[in-house]
Parts: sequence; structure tokens; C-alpha cells
Amino acid sequence: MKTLAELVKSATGTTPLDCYQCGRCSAGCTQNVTEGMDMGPVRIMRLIQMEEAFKDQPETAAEYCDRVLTSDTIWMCASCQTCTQRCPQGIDIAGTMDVMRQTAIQRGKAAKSRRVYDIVSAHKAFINCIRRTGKNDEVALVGEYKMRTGNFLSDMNMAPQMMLKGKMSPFGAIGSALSLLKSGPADNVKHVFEAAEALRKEEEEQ
Amino acid sequence: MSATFAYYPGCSLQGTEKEYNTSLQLVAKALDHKLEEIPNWLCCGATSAHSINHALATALAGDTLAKAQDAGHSKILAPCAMCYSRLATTLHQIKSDPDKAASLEKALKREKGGLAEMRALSMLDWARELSDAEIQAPIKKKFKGLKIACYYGCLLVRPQKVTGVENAEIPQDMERVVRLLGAEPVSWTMATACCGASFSLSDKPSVFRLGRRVIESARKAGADAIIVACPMCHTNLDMRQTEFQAADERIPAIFITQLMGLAYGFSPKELGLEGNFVNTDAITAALAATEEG
Repeated sequence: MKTLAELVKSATGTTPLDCYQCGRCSAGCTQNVTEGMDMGPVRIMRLIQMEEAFKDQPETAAEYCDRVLTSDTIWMCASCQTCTQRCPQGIDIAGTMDVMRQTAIQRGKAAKSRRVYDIVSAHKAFINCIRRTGKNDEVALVGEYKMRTGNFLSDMNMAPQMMLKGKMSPFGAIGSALSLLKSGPADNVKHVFEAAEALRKEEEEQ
Repeated sequence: MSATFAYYPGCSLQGTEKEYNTSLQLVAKALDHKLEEIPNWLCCGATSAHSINHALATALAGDTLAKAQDAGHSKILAPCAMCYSRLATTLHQIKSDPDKAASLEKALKREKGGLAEMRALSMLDWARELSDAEIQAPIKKKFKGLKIACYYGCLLVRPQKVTGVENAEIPQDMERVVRLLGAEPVSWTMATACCGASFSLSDKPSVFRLGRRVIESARKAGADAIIVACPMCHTNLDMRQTEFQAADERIPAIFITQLMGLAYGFSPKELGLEGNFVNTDAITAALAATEEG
């Protein structure tokens, strides 16, 4: 199994091993400075380095790896790119968070908290929308998100106002709801999912 | 100067944020810009694809680049900051690594190559290509005494190696446009802060905390309104604002194309201003005051 640092290197071309812990990423992190994270990005960078440093001691390495993959932090990252922009070592820190999220899902390590569950559900619902129609249908997205999370009442208060403002049509909403019954991928988007599969395989072989 | 672009409106501009599309179409026409919609375009995958399925994110962006290329274009205008960022990020990756370009083209079963030669333009790039005289030519009425907070958010400016902006911390592209329309840009601290829009559905506490930070900063700087160039920012700073700000502490947020459109003589109705949740009278009133000017 590849180390986290190796995965980041192949996805972003940069490596967390270059991090010298200046803390600029944590100091400017949107979520960290407003207390939305359990640990700042600079600690994620350190943990990735520790996994690499203990590569010869698999148990210890796995512990460091798990601390990253099971953290709330990787899911609370807003992908605002401030850390990547400011890193004096040019590390793609926001890109690193992408790799951590994807790896957490692939290895079944994503945090079990309610907050993380909701965020992961929204991402999965979004990708399923694309699979069904090739586009993000906002009503279908909200519908699937509600089914996955049981948050049936959230945002229902906005729907009437959105219809009044012409942001949503009742007939469109019915069509969108019906699209949830389709299974995908739809014809217009099949080639993209096939291409993604080819890219994923190629990356795995490298 | 007349110009033609491949146009990638993106999902939001066909759904809840359609007034961004409507106002951009009107303004582009006034500027003699032709927007040719990319045939059969697909979603960019947004935050979700790049968060949990990197290969899908790359393939979706590659598909859009390929369709624009096949339609004979080299420049793609993407008014949505998210769509723009996905295209620009993928272009940055395949430009800096020919192997990645080759794998993407192979995965999409394309023989002709050249995907890395395409260019994605954000609304900032688009505005930058317009001279002062070009922006001012269609003006029918100028604004007077209107203070605007120009909100860039994240993806129009960051990361700089992808967006190519001159200054990612204190960009001034929208300020230039605002001044040319007769309005006055304010100096404020949250112009490039994140509004938390990617959590709009999944984590309300983040949205409220981060959205509020932006609104409060604009109010403190004395702004009458905020302008944006991203549909997610708009949803957050307009519709969501009604959930996190008290009624007497709200400030309208409109698209840069709506502000331009008002000065170019289009009506608030044509520009879709009635779609706003927060009242926009402060903006239109500043225009009416200079009917003759």
C-alpha cells in the first residue's frame, strides 16, 4: 500500500515531506481560524510526514495514517485554496486534503461523526446526480441528500420562497424528483465515467 | 471590440442562479461579445468530484475542453467560479505535465491532441481583456454615491499558479469595473475570504459562520452592496443571508454583470434583480439619481 505522501506526490506533483511546519496554512485556514476544525492543516502535514518516517515500523505508521484519515479536519476543509496559495514551500495543501478524502473513502476510514456523515452524503449525492443526468440538478441533489441523511426538514422553509422568486418551478421539481428513479450512468455521460475508470486504473498501476 | 467565446454556463446558471446567465447575456451583447454555448456540455463535478473522485473530476473537465475544441474554439468563458476553477486546474495539470495530458486524451479516446492548448477564462480574465473605453462605451446612466464591496471569494483568484491573477491577496479587477461605472469600491478585509458555500447543503454552521464574517466586514466598511462573480457565493450571500442576518442588518449581493447591466440601461426586471432575497433598492436608487448624467 502506498504511503499518504506518495499518493499526494502522484496526484499533485508536490509533497508534504517538504513542509517545515511554519504554520502559515493553519494561521490562514478559513475553517481553522473560525474554530470549525479539530486540528489545523499544519498538523495533517506533520502526521503525513510521521507515517513516512515510520515506514519501517508498519504498526506505528498505520497509527499516524489513521489519525489523518479518520480526522474531521479533512472533511471540514472548504477547499478555499488559501493554504496552497500561501505555502512558502509550494505544497498543494488543499490538493492534499482532496487526496486524504478520497483515500479515507476508498479505505473505509472516514470519520463516523454525524457532521462528517452529512458532508460525505452530500458529495455522494452530487456525483450520483451527474451519473443520472450529466448535470447537477439542484432539486434531485437535495432530494437524494435528504434520503441519505434523514434531514427531511432542512431547507424546506426555503422552497416556497424559491418558487416565488422564480428560482425553482413546481413542475421542474417534479421532473427532478422523478429523475431520482433513473439508474446510471446516462448515455450522455457514460464515456466520462469510463474515462475516469481508465485514469484511475492507470494511476493505480504507476 | 467584438470577440467570440465558447460559453460554459454550468448547472447553477441554468437553475437557481439563472439571473447570472441572463444578465451576462445582455451585457455581452452590449459589448459585442458572442457567447457560443458548448454543445452537450456536462457538469464540472464541482467540489464533490475533486473531493472524493479525482479521476472523475479530471475526466469531466477534459470532456468540456474536448467539446469546446471540437466546436472550433480555443477560449472558454466560464462565468461560474467553480466551473472555471475545475477547467483551469485541469489545464494547469496537463500543461505542466505532458504525460498527464496524454493519459487524459487517451482515456477520452481522442486522437487529435491539443487539449492543453485550450484556455479557460474567468469573469476576471474576461473583464481584464476589456479596455476602459470598451467597458464605458455602452453606459447609459452612471451610479452616484454607491459604495460597493467587491467580493472575489476563493476560486477566481486562488491558487495564483492556476488563475494567473496579478495579486491573489488584494485583487483589483472588479474595483476597476466598479469605478468605471461611477460607483465607489470600498476597502475591506474579507474580499478574498471564503464564504463557506461548499457546505451550503451539508454543514449549515460553517455556512452561517463564514457567510456572516463576509457580510459584517462589508457593512463595517460602509458598503451599500456587495458584487460577486460566482453563483455559489451569490446563493450564500443572498439567500442564506436571510437565515443568518437580522432583517435590519442585511446588505444586498448582486452579480457584477447585473451592476454593469443597470449602468448599460437594462431594467432591474430584465436583469433578474427581483430574484434576490435581500432588497436591492439601494442599488437601483443610486442609479436613478443620475438619470441625465
